[in-house]
Amino acid sequence: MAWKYGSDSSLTGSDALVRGIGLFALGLGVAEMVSPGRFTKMFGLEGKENLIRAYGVREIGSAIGTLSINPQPALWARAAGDMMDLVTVALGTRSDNQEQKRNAWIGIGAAAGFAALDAFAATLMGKRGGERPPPADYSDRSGLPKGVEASRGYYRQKREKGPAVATHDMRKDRMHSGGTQADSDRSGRAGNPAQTETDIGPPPIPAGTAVS
Amino acid sequence: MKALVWHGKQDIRYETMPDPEIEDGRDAIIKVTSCAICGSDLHLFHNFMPGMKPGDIVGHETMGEVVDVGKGNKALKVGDRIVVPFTIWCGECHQCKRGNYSVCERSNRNAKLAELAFGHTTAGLFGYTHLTGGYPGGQAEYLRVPMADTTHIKVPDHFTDEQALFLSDILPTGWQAAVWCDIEPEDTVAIWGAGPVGQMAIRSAVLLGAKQVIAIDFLPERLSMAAAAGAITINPGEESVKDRLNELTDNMGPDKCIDAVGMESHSQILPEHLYDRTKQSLMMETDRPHVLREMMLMCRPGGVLAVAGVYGGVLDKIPFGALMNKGLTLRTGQTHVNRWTDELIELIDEGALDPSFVITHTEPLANGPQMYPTFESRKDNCIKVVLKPGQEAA
Ligand SMILES: NC(=O)c1ccc[n+]([C@@H]2O[C@H](COP(=O)([O-])OP(=O)(O)OC[C@H]3O[C@@H](n4cnc5c(N)ncnc54)[C@H](O)[C@@H]3O)[C@@H](O)[C@H]2O)c1
Ligand SMILES: [Zn+2]
Ligand SMILES: [Zn+2]
Repeated sequence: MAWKYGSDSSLTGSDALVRGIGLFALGLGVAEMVSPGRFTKMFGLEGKENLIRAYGVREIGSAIGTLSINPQPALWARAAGDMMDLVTVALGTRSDNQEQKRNAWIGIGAAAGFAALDAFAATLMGKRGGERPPPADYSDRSGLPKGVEASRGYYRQKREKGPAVATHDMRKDRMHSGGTQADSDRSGRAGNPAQTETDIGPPPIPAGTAVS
Repeated sequence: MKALVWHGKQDIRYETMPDPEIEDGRDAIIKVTSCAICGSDLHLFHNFMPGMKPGDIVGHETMGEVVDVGKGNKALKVGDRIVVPFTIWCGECHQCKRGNYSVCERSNRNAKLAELAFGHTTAGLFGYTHLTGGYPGGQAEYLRVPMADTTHIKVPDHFTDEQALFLSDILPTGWQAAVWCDIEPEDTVAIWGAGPVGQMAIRSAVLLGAKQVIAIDFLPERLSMAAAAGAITINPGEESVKDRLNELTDNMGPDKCIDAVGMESHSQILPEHLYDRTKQSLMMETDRPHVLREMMLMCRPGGVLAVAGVYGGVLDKIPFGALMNKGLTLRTGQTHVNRWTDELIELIDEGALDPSFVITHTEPLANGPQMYPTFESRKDNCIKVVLKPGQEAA
């Protein structure tokens, strides 16, 4: 298990890494949108300001995803976006300006590094909460010890058989309980079908064995 | 004492907190023997429910032994073994007298906040946001139970913790949803979500006599548990929910529909999912109501939609025209837990129902911070986690 945020938090080191990436992406995206010229100048991409702005929008979108409760898809998308960045800054290596050329090479390295980091974080998020083993077969857990068919309508039959219910017309009770919530609430609990229209008092507060 | 404490999105910590004390004559303090993580806790874990504060103790499915009782509490004594219903109720107000415990008018100590959000106050809840009272929750070694003379369920001695614990929430929640459906013997009941609540709703619909129960979920292991109780299963990741429902109902649609998913539903329709997800991230829509939309469109005219899944705020693009013109009945609510207690205890006692089937993981409370992500990510085939404060962490 990865190291923890606090000593005993559900947040792990990988969560911290992902939040870091999300915040960085947010900052980068805003910078790209606000001053694309700084990027184009740095990498010899003059004239491509609108492209950088579009990348800024993409970056912010991926930041929102990365900071969400399910960051994995956004992280994979970021890794792909990093490759787009890589190709874009690579154009700068053809620049005549030595500094721009150098920056472009640094940019290529950085973009490749970020792609690896984002992909790594995405795999970490895939492991979040443990491994996914093949789906378990819980088909022996019916929760109905008498068996499914013997249980079908068990409670209904109990109501119909019970002495208090013998003369009671269930349909009437149902009609009475249908309608609005207020009506049904007055008709009382499902377990108290003996109540009829003449019995529109407050239902008894559960008492007896269960609640005293 | 030790407790699981909320600190923000996906940040639950196992921390030392002050021991609870009796604050009112009706109170009781219990030493927790078992507690569970609920799907509702995931909405907090994801920070989709407004009104949490760092430092809040979470948890609302709890049971244990009474270790201290307030002077005015004649119903409980030290040593009693009780399950704590997640809705705190006074037993005296207009709503409590009608059995509408989850909208008790007196148990929410932040009633003003709730009125702002919902128009009226609803009941106080354990470990669930300051809109519902900000009461410390029960994923802890000890819990103060306010209004404990009414807010408790005494369980028969021969019930195990595992059989009794879910009387606190998911069992009556599934039951209430099925009861809300007014099930008739010819009915097809379709249930969206095969999480713990959906599983309980499936058993309830069977016991209440539905002819055909259909369970819808993306997770094969949950569908296998649904099939164990005789449900026909649909995996929306593999087949069209609409086509399958029509096929199973002579093109009539299910008579009754239950939403056991709530505000974080997934949609196979990518644009719909992205639309809701984006709006939810940007806080323009609090909930993703895919299942609600689908139920309104699928349900047979004249049918009932019972919504057990929790929603928090404002929803978008609801096909209300379908609901109205098809004459559907919509019934919802947090569960009026104690209203259903007697009949559910009877069912367990008679051996007609054993709610422990749903437990897939039992861990020491100290492992809570790991179990939240395990339950959240549905990894390790996790369906229901029970935590034991008494156990040492490995
Ligand atoms: N009304 C109440 O008093 C009450 C009480 C307890 C829980 N709840 C609510 O019930 C809901 C379910 O709780 P849970 O503990 O079972 O949670 P859960 O998160 O384990 O289960 C939800 C299930 O829904 C499935 N799902 C998601 N999208 C779906 C879709 N489009 N179609 C079909 N299935 C889909 C998921 O795969 C998951 O299995 C939650 O919203 C919870 O807050 C309400
Ligand atoms: Zn719950
Ligand atoms: Zn009340």
